[in-house]
Amino acid sequence: MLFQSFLRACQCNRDRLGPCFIVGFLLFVAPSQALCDERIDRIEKTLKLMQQKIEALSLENRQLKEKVQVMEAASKQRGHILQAVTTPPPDSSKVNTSNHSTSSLAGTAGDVVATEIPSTVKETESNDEAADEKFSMDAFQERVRELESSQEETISRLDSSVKVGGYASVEYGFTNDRGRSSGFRVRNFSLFFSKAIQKNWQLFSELEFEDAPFIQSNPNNNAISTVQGKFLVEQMYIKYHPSVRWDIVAGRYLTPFGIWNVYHYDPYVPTQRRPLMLRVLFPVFSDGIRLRYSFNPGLALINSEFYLANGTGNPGRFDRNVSKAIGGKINITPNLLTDMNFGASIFRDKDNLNVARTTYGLHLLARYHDLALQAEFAHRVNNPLNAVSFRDVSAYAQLSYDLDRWTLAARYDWLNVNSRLPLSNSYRYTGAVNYHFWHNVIGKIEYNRNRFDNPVIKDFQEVILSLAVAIGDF
Amino acid sequence: MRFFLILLSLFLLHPLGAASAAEDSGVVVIVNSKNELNQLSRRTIFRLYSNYKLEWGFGESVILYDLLPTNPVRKLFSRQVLGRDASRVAERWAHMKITNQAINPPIVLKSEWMIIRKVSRQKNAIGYVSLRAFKSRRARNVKIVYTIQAELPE
Repeated sequence: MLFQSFLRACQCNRDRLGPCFIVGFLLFVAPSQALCDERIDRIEKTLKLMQQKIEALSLENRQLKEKVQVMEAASKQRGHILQAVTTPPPDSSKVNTSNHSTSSLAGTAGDVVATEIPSTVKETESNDEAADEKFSMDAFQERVRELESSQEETISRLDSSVKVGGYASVEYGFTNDRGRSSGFRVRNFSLFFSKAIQKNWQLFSELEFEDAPFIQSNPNNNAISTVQGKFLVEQMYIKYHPSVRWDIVAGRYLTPFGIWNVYHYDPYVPTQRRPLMLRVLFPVFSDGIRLRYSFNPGLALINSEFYLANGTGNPGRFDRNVSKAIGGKINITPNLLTDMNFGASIFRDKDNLNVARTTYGLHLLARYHDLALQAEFAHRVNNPLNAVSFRDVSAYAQLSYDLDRWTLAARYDWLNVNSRLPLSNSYRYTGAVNYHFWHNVIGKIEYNRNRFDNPVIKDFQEVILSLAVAIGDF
Repeated sequence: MRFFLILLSLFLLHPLGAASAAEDSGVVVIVNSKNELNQLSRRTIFRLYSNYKLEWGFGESVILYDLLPTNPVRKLFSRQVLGRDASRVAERWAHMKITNQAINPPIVLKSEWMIIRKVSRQKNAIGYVSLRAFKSRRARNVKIVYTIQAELPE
């Protein structure tokens, strides 16, 4: 309005147009120009401030990027050092965030500030996490080392402690044998004690209580009034074993003859009744020294044992005759992809009746997966001092098959004592079913049919139900 | 549409996952990396674990590591390498130990991880673990000498 009035005044006074313009300039244009300059100055100042901010932020961003790179390198190094631990890979999203914020610098300053602040927080957090993780890993590894040393110490203590093992079996037998009746039998209770005395030195013993032994004396005169069952130190020896190749034992040990005489414990054999040759053709145990030497020709294995002992019928205290018993056993395991063992044994002795006896034996154990064949043959030559020599012969063959928890077994036994006598053969046919409740708890049902050539001895049959357990397998 | 995309993703991912699981199944026999042997036959492993081979070729006695008879890895190993159930093999060892006839019986450990640790520390040791455990532990100082590719039993 003011400007239009001014123009109208100018048209009315055209002669005074020059002064009017000067007045107009002074009144309107000059002040507005000054205002514009002011604004421009302010804007320029603002822009300068923003530029300073941008420069500061880009410097900070560069520093953060450098930090990320350092963290990546550290993370990789940690990954190499602690391979057993799953290390998370460097967080690429954080790097991307930084990159994104760098590119955002081209935009407005407000955007840059908005993205940079959370990124810094994230970096600090990741630093803390990495430090925590490293700390926890160090602590974890330290704990593992502690546990391992503790375990080794425990194992060492256990190795040096006395180990107790054993087995027990009870049975109920039905029989039609003359002079015997059906009934329960507290068959076996054997305890094993083993102690590693020093490095490579060991004491091993087996105490056997058969048929629940009971010994009682008369209190008035100390005479023994009752003796039932059998108590026996079946094994007691000191063993020196410097290598897996060889060892030597001194004391009482199971005579290394064939298979069954050594591996005969109730929970691990399918029948309660032992083969007929046992306890007849050679002694169950011997008192003396025994040397074992094993070696591998190629992938085969040869185990050999040689021993010197007092011989049959002698107590642990001394030898009742001057001659010593000698023997040996060799067991060969050929290089096959299955269990297969065969070998030979010999036992030579002159007993307390001055009868020179030599027993030869052959054995075989062949296993194909769950099917096993075990067989032994023994032949004894007896040479009395002033009589005709005679022979004893025995053999058995046993077939067994493992079917899940069940074991089915059948065995044929034959024994001929004194081949010079007629009708001296005896036979036993055995069938057995075992059920393995656990690997050391076994139930058995066994049928035996015993037949004799000699008509004086009546054939008989028996059925045995038994339960056998093993304790502590060392 | 989203539903179909999810279905498609699952369809595509499932075979990959199955393939990955199949790759991780099985059992590996491991020895120390300092052991000169890089490969063992099944027969050799059978003979080592049956005490029919007592020493390595370099003259040191073998240290055998075993798992518990109830462990599925041992079940598979026993069946595939020893040809018998793990429980029956355990019975055999129990019989050998109880009679003091075991020459070099395996040392039974409860965890596969412990086997890896032990084998990684002992030059003459041998053990077996599942392939999955071997991979997940990023086992060092041990090497695979035999692989049994089969599904672990339940």
